[in-house]
Amino acid sequence: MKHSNSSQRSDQNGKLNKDNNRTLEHHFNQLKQENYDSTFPDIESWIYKTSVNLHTNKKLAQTNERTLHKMKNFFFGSKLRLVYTIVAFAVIIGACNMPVTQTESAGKMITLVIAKDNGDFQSKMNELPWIKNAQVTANENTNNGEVQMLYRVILPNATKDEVIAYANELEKLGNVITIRITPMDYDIKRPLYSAALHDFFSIDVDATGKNDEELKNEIESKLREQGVDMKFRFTTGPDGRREIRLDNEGQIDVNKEPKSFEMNIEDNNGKEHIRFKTQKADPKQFEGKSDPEIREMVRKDLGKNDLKDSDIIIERNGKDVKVKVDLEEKEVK
Amino acid sequence: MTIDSAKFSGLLQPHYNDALKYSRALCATWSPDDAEDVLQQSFLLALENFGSLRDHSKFRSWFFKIITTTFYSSIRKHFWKKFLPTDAERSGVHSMPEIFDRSVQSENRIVLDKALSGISAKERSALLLFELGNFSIEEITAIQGEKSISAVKSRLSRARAKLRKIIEKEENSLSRMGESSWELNGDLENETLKLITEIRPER
Repeated sequence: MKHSNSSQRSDQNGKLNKDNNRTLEHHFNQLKQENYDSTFPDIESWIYKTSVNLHTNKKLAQTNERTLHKMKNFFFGSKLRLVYTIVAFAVIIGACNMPVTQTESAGKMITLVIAKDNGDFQSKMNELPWIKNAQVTANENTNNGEVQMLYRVILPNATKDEVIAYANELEKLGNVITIRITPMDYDIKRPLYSAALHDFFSIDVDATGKNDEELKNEIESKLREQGVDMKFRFTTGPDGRREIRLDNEGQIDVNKEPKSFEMNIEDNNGKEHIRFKTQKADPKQFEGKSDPEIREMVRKDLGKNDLKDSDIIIERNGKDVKVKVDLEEKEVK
Repeated sequence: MTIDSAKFSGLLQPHYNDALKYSRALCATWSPDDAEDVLQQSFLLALENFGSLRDHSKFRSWFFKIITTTFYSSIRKHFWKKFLPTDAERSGVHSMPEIFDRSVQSENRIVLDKALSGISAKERSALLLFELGNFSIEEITAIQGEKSISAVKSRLSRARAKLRKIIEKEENSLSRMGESSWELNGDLENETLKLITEIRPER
């Protein structure tokens, strides 16, 4: 009985399948009856025109298509690569925001101890010209029964050489028991991208409609805000083009300036673009190098292989090497 | 190297009708414009690569393979299409003339299109290559870029089963609509076609 039921079911299934197959066949037959032959002449003539056009535009089309395709396929070609790309972006953003520790200098401090009965030490010290820029504190101290004066002279903007010279001047005033120079360094944490930008700044100035004096004042004031003390001279030629010259060039050591900077001046309604750039260099990088080697380093560093030897001025003073690059670049649009 | 368009057209002509039927059915519920875009891109690719086809006796399977891969990529391209110029604009060629029928389709065709769009692109392509292209399983395996013949066999069988199921469901729902109290005046066939046009999903 069971067998007969199952055989009946199988017959029914077979009949159903046949019906279903017939349905599919019926639909596909209708599809097969469609006829597009009448459109062939139109397509043939389109193919002819297209083949001529394709031949002309093939290279251009291929370049565009391949570039776009490569980019698209690279980023979206596979799900795995898309994930890698997102992870890579996340890592880059993460890395840029990763805090790094930098040591910054708040200045230098001269600590000196003198006997309390030091005559006119304090009045002599007050006469020193640089003392106006320093913060001075004085404390009385007793050491082995002897009353002493402890002076702390804080110099926020002085360089190491200047501080040594000031310490020598103080020592010469007399009665100094001990004198010590202490750098006042502190550690600061900042994101990596901020650290990269910290030692460099850029100022943009629109010089259109400003006379030479106004331009000079604006630029010098902007640089002073960033701790850079440079004096410039602007002159406008008969053709209306402006020249920029560093006025206190001989007194300035770019390496002593706190930051490297770039100055972009748009002039004459954007027709002229003056760019002035300073770049700090590691003073030790020129040690033991010959003049041709230094010139090669400068060309490579600036990416200007066409710089003439006369444009790179090298001044030697014992072990000290001073390199000045006379590079005049004007972009006239 | 110039493209030998006469030779290309000569090789295309015997397979033209089947290729167009295959192409249109692949893009089942797509608009005629979108289906023509796929076909046009296939023609452009075929013309560009015609020089690399050494054995001209394999033109048919080569051209069907191009249509198939173009169709696959046009599914992926759908998002990019909004931002990019059309392939014709990019290649600096004129648009292909209109080929596909823009008039109202028959009830059977609408049901089949709906059923075809209900199965996956690969299943649809395998089934249509078999039914319309008359390709063998081995040839379909090569056209679809598969390594295993059995994978294509099971794909075909799966596609048939799904297609049957969807057609059955569609036909049942159509017959239920016929049994409802809607009033159909005049020519029954015309009224039904009108009704189908109204309820037909837009792509």
